[in-house]
Amino acid sequence: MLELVNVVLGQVRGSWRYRWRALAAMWGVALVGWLFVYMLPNKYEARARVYVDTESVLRPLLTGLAVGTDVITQVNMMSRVLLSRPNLGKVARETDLYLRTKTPEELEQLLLKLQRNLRLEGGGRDNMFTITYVDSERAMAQRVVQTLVNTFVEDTLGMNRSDSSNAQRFLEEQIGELEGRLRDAENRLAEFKRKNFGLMPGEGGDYYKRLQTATSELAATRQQYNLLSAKREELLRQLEGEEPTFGLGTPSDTGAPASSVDGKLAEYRKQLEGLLLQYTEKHPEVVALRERIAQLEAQKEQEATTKRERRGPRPSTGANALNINPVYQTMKIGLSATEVEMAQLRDKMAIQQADVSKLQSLINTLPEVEAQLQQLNRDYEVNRVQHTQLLQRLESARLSEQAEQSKEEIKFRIIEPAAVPLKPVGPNRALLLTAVLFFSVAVGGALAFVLHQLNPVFLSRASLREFTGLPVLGSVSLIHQTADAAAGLLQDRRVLFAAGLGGLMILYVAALMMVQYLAPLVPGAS
Amino acid sequence: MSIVEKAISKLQSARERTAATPPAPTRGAPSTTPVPRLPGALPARERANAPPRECVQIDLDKMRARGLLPPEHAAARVTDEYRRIKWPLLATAFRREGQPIDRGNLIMIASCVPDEGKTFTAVNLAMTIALERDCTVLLVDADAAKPNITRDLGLEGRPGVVDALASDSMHPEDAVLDTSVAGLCVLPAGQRNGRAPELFASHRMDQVAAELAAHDPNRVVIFDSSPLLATNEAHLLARVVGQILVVVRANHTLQPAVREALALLDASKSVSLMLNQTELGFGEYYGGYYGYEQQK
Repeated sequence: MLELVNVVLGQVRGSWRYRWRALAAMWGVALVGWLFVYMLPNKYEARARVYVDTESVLRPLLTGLAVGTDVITQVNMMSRVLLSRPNLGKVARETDLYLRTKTPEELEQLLLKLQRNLRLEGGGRDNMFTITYVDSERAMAQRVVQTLVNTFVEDTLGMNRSDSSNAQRFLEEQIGELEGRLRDAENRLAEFKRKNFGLMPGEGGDYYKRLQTATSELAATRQQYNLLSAKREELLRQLEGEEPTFGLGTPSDTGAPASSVDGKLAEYRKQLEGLLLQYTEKHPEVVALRERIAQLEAQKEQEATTKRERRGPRPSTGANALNINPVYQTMKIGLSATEVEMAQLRDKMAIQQADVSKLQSLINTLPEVEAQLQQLNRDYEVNRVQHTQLLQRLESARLSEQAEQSKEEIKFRIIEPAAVPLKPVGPNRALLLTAVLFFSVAVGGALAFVLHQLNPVFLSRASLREFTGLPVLGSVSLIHQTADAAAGLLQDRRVLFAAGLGGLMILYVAALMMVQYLAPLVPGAS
Repeated sequence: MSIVEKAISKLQSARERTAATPPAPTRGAPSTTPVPRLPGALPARERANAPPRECVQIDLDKMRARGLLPPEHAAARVTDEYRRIKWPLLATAFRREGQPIDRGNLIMIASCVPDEGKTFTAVNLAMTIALERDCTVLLVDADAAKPNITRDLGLEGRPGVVDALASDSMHPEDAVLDTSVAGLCVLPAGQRNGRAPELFASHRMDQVAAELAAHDPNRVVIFDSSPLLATNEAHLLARVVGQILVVVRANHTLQPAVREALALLDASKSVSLMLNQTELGFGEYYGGYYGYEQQK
């Protein structure tokens, strides 16, 4: 500890050698510094107080977020809204602040500076904010704050309107799009119907019913045809093979059993036809019936042959007689009529058969077409529903906008317009003067110390011995001259030095006084 | 009052007493001086039967005023400090055993730069050595550029070192003067001569030095010189003496200067250093113990 103190003392003594230079440096730095402080321009602060309904202003920003109502967040968000770049740019232009800049980079710097220096304070329950701005020109500071406040008022008035009109525009766009789609769907539907004309399910129910109807009609026609065919056969038989039962002959015994067999046969054949309509050949009833018919036909053959054997060859003259028989002619006419009818029926059958086969061929395509039609209808339906909904929303948006415009909304109100006090708020010259004084003392001390370090001397025997390596026999201490040995007070160097320091302090005090009480003399006051 | 002053006053009173009688040769006069001498150390001059030496009055107050002697309040301290310094020098000068230094009784007081306190040291060291019981001291003003001692003692115009160097025949002892301080003689610088550095460089310098050394083996010769770095002749003087005491002023002489000056000196000489005008740090001064005077 003692050594440390001695080392420090040694350094102080060494630096003391250069005290005059240090004093000169102190004076120089102090004078320059004080002059600079004196020349600093004053700074004026303009302030305005406003009332802002933060909720309505911040609502578009905060939608979806948890609403934090603490004051700091409020103020921060208000700052971001108020001090946004476009706003500041507008302020810079309108207040001619941008005239201070020359290049785009400087403008950027200016905007940044504006953002920093424009301060927003307040918030809380009463929603009162204070906007302050500091500048070296009084008028400019006031203009900046006033312009900012005005800008914001204008902005908020127009803000809501533009918002809802935006929403409406959006809705209208959507609706237009949907209408387009609806039209497309309708076109597609029409196209489809046109292409598949005739296959539309509109006439006569759906496919399977139609097929069934056609098939049953065909069966009925065939049945009719079969009946006619049987009738024809009977007529033929009566005309050719049989004895003319009307006017010439006596009813033969074989006729009755023959007609009963024929009748039964006809009956059975009718039954068979009826069955075949419903069942296939394999059906047991059908099979049984066929057997019976076969039996009957065999029986009939047998009877016919026996009858023919009994009867013998018929005289051909009988034929001529038959031709001019009026009954025979009627029967012949009947026969031809029947044949005509049969031909008609045959045609009809052919047509109906064609229908049935056509229907059967469409067995694959018709259901597909129906399905596609259903889908198109569905699409169309969906679009239509959406369209209706959007129209409803558009209507409601229009209504709400009107409602809001009719209500008087206070978003922003100026409580105190921008005002600038005459007295500047800065710079704090007294503080700066003191700082300059300390700095000059520090500079002087540092200079002396540096000079001492650059020009090393010997302060102790030990250091001398170490440096030279030669024996140091001793040391003789400094003899201080007593006061009356001095030649005169002014000549005494120490007094001079003290006077130098004292002069500096006096100058400092004088500068302080000047700053405090002679403010009007300070430059920059306007 | 210091011892020196007491001695001077006693001597003065003794002289006044013998003022009526024709001035006896004051050379030596051992019986009247309070400082006895060693037997067998009679000055060579006595043997050579030379003419009597002149005595110079030393006005102590005037010397204090000129700054050659310390003020009274510091006199005791300074004397003690120089005592500490002188004994190693004397020990080297009168070394009886071991390897004696050639001309060890010639001590040069040197410094690196001007204003380090050479003259002050030379004078005070001489005064302190004059108190010695076993030896005497001769103070030589070999500072040809600024002969302060010669000037302060009022010895301008008297023949001195430079004259002895200039002339081949003159004995340096002829110019030596006694002083009112017992045991102290002085040899002035002599006339100003522009060729002093060359004179110092000549063989005659060596001869003069040898004569001064041999005249009395019990006499220490103190040379006050010019700064080593400021003048040329100092290091030439250093070649002919036996011991060199370099005075370094604390908190003033730059370290490179000391290095340079020491480089000029011959390594074979006995070089020692002394720190002058030091300031005391905390706990470095052990206080004035007590004075050697009689308590009042």
